[in-house]
Amino acid sequence: MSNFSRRSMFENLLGNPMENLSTNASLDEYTQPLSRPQVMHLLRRATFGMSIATIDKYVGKKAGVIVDELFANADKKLSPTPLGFINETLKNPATLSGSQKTEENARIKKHKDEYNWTLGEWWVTLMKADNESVLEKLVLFWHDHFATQYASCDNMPFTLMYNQNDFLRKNYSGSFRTLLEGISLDGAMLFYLNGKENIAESPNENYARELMELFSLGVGNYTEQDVREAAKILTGWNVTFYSNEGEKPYKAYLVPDKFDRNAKSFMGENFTVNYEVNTANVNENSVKKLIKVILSKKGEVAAKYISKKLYEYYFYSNSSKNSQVFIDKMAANILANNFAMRPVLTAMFKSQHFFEEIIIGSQIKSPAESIIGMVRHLNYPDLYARNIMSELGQELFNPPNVAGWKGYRGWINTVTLPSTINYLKIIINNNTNQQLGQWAQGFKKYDEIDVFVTSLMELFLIQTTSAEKLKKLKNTLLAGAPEYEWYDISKNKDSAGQRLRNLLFEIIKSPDYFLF
Amino acid sequence: MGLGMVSALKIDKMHLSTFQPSETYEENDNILVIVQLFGGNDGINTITPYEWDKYYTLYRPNLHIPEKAVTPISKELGMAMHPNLKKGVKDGMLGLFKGGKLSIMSGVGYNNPNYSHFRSTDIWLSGIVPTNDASPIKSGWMGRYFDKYSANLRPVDPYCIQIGDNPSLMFQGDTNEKAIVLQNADEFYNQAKSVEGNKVDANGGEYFKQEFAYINELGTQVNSYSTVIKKAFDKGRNLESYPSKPLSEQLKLVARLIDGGLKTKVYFVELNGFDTHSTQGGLDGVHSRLLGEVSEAISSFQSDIEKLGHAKKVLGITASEFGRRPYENGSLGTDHGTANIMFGFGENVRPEIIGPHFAFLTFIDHQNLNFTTDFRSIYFEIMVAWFGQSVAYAEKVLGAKFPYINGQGFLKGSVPDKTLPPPPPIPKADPNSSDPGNPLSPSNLILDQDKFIVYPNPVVGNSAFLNMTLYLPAKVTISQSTMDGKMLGTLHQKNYRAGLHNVFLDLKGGAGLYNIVILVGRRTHFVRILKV
Repeated sequence: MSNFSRRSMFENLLGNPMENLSTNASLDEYTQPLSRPQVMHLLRRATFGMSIATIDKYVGKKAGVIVDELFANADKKLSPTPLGFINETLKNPATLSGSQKTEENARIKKHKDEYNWTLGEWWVTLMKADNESVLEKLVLFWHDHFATQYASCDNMPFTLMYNQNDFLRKNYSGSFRTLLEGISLDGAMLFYLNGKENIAESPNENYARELMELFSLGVGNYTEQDVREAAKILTGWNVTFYSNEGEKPYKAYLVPDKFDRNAKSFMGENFTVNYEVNTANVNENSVKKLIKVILSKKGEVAAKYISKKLYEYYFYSNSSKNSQVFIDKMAANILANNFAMRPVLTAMFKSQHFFEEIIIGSQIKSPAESIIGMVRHLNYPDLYARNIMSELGQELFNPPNVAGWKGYRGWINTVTLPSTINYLKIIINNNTNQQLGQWAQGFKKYDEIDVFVTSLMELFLIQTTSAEKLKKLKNTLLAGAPEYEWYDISKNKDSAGQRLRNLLFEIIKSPDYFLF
Repeated sequence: MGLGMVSALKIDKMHLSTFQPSETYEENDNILVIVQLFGGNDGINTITPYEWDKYYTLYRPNLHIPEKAVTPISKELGMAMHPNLKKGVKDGMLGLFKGGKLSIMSGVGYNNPNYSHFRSTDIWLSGIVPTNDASPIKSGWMGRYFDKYSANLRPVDPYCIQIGDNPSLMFQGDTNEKAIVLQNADEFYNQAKSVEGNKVDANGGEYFKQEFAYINELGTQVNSYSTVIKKAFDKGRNLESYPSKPLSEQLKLVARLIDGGLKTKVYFVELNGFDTHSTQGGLDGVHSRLLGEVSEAISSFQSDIEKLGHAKKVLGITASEFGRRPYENGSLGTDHGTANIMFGFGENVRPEIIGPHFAFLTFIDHQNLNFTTDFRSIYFEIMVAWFGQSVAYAEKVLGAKFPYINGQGFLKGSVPDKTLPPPPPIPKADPNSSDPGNPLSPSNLILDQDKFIVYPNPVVGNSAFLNMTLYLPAKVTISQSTMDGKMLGTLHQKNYRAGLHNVFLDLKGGAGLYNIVILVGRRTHFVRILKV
C-alpha cells in the first residue's frame, strides 16, 4: 500500500462523514399529520415536559397546530409568581450603625448567597411544571446566550438575576433588537461585565467587546476600533441595589458626569452628543442607536449568528456545512421580520428539516434535560435538583463564563457519565416502593406489560420501538416472574414499585437516555 | 491480531492518522507528570532576589521573604529559595536541588501576555498564543500530540490521566479527548459498574448513531479504564509517606499507578489558591503555606518513585498561568503578572538554575516583567528529548519550532540543536488598563474566608446539602455530632479545590438539634442544624 492511499484512507476515516449527508434543509412547513415518533421528537426538543397523555393528544395533528399551541401556552405564563421575598429592600450598611448594621449585613449576605440558590430552585420548579409549552427551554436558551453569573468574589444580590430572568422571559419570543437593547442596560449585566465601571475618563471595554463577540456578531466580525468606540458610547451607566441611595434599586440609571460627551464614530456612523444628557436621551441616542447600527450595518451577520446558536440548541450541536443552508434560511426569515424572533422560532419547529430523521435523537442532554426529565416524574426536592445540576456543571444563574455553557459533548465525560447515573439513582431512591408503584399505576394500561414498558421507553429513551430493548427491559421488570404475572404484580404498589426501580436503573444506563 | 492484544501505546504505524510516518516514532516508556499551580504562582517570593535592596524596600515592603530566612542557591545570580521549599522528605525541593534532581527555569513567559486567568491558563494548556485575544482556543498541546493515533482506537491504558474534576483543555485533541479524569480509583471502579459499556447497536438517523456511539464509547472507556486503573492501583505500592494534603495525595495516587504498571504517558495534577491578590502574607502567609505543600508533595513523590525503582522514566514539571507583579498591591497581595519560574524534577533534569533571575529583567510597561524563554520551549524539548519524537513532529504539535531554554535545554539528554530558531526578541507589550483582566480591576480583588451553609435548615428527613465556599484547596471531613458533642460518625471526606461546592449530606439520627462538624485542613467549623 503506498503512503498516499493509506493517508487518504485515514483522512476519510477521520474526516466528518456527515458533511456528505444530504438533507432537504427546508424551512417550509411540514404539513403531514405527525406520527407518534415525530410528536415525541417535537416535545423532547421544544419543551421540558413530556407525558404519555400529551403524546397521545398530539399524535395525528399537524406540526403547525401543535407548535402554535406550545407558543400560545407559553404566552400565558410570562408572569409566574415571584419569590416571596422579592420586594424586600436592602439598605447600604455604611449608612447604619450598631445592631441595625449587623442585621442589614446579615440580610445582604442572604440576598447574595442563599437566595440565589433559592432562585435556582424557583426556576427548577417552573421548568418541571412547564407542560406543553416552549417557554422555559427558550428562557434557558437566552440565559445561556446572554450568559451572566451571580457568583463572583462578591456575589450579586439575587434580585438582579431575577430581574434579568424576568426580562428574558417576557421577551422569550420577542425582538432580538429589544433583547440586545435591554440586556445592555440590564442591572446584572452592568455588574457582571463591568458596565458600571465604564466611565468617560476610563472606558472599560468588557461589555462592548462581548456585546459584539458573543451576543450579536461573533468573533472576527468587528474591529478593535469598534470595541473602543462602542465602549465610549456605552459609558456612564450605573446600578445600585440599596434602597436608600436616591436611585431606584436594581434599575440602570445614567450618571451624566460619567458619560463621554465627545463625538464618537462607530462602524462609520457618527454619535454626536447634541442633546441634553439624561437617562432617556442617552438611552435613545446612544445605547439604542448603537444596537441599531450593529443590526443595520451587520444585520445579516447578526441574523446568521443567532440562527446558528438556535440551530445548535434545537437541532444539532455539531452543525456542519449542510446545516448552514438551513441556518441561512433562518437568518433570512429574521431579516425579513426586522429581528422579530417569533416567526423564525415557530417556523423552525414546524419545518420539514426539523422532522427529518437525521435530526431525531441527535442532541446530547444537558443536566437540565437529564435531571429535570427525571424529577418531573418523581418525588425529589427542587432545591436538590438545582444542586445536582450544579454539581454536573450547569448551575442555573451561574454559567461557567460569559460564553455560556460549552454544551454538546462537553456535558458528558468520564466523570459526569458515571456521576449523572449516580445522581439519577439518588433521585429514584428518594421514592419509596409505594410511591413508585403509585406512579406506575398512573400510566394508562399499566397492567399490560408491553404497553407499560413501552411508555417508559417513550418517556426516557430515543429508540422507543426496539423489540430487543423492550424484551430486555421487560425481563428486568419481571425479575424472573412469568410475563402473565405482571397483571397481579402491577396491582401491588410495593412489589410493582420495587421492580420499577430496577427498571429505571436499567433505563438510565442506556446510552440513549443521554440523548434527546 | 485484535486491538485488544496490542499493548498500550504500542500502536504501530499502520494506525497513524494524518501524519507522515517519518515524522513520528513509536512511544518510549518515559512518563511526564505536570503539576499545575492554578492562580498564578508568585515566582519572586518562590526564588527570591535575596541580595537586592529594592526587593525589600520598593517592591515588597510588606510581603518580602526575610533575607535571613531564605537559603541562597546562587550567590552570583543573587537567588535564594523560599524556606518552605525545604519542607518535606530529605529537605524537600531544596534537597532535590542539592541532590541534582531539580532544575530551576527562570524567566518563562510569552509574548503579548494576557492577564486573565482563563485566557492565560488556556494559553499555557494549549501551547498556542493567539495574536487575537478573542480567537477561541480549541485544543491542548498534549491532545494534539496524541492526535497521531486515530480517534477510533482506544489504547488499553489511557494516554493521559488528569487527577481532578473536569477535563483539562491540555488533553483536548483536534479529533478527540486524550485523557480521562480520575479522582479516586475505588470510587471510579464502583460507579463504573452501573454504566452500560457493551457494544450496543443503535438504529436511527446518522447524527443519532454518531452521538450514541460517542456515549457508548465513553461508557466503554469508563468500564475498561476503571478496571485497568483499579488493577494498577491494587497492584501498585507507595514506599514513601505523604502528608494528607490535596497535592500530595494526587501525586501519591500517580506514583501508585505508575508502580502498578499503568502505561499512561502523561499525568496531570493541580493545586489551586495561588491567586494571592490579598493576604498573600510573608513567611507565615498563604503563599508560603502553598509552597510548603508543593515542596512536601514533590519531594515525597520523587523519593517514592526512586524507592519504587521508576526514577529513570519519570520526569515532572510545574507550570502556572502567569507570575505576579514585582510591586505588591495595597491589599497585602500581588497582582497578575508575566514572567515566572518553572521547576523540572527527576533524575533526568539538569540540576541548575537556567536563565537570569527574572526579577532583574526589564519592565515592559512599568509594572510587568519581560520574559526570556517562551514556555513552549519547554514543551518542545519534552516532546523531542523526553518523548523521543522528531523536531518536525513537535513543530506540527506547536505550530512552530522553539529553541531550548538557554540553548542547552533543561534535560540531561538534550543535545543542542542549531537548526532551532534563536530565542524570541524581548517584545514590547501593550498594556490595556481598561481590560477586565487587568489586575487593578475591582473584580479581581478577593478576600473571602471559607463559608458553610447547610440548607434547607431545618432539615426534613435525612437529605441536606452543605454549600461550601473554600478559599484554598483542602481536604474536607464532614461529621455529625449531637449538641453535647457525641460524634455520630463521618458523613463525607474528600479533597476539594478552592471554590463553591454543594455537598450532599445523608444525615444520621432522629429529630433534634445537631452540629455538623467540618474539618478543613486543620481548621474546624461548626454548623448547627435542626432535623424535623
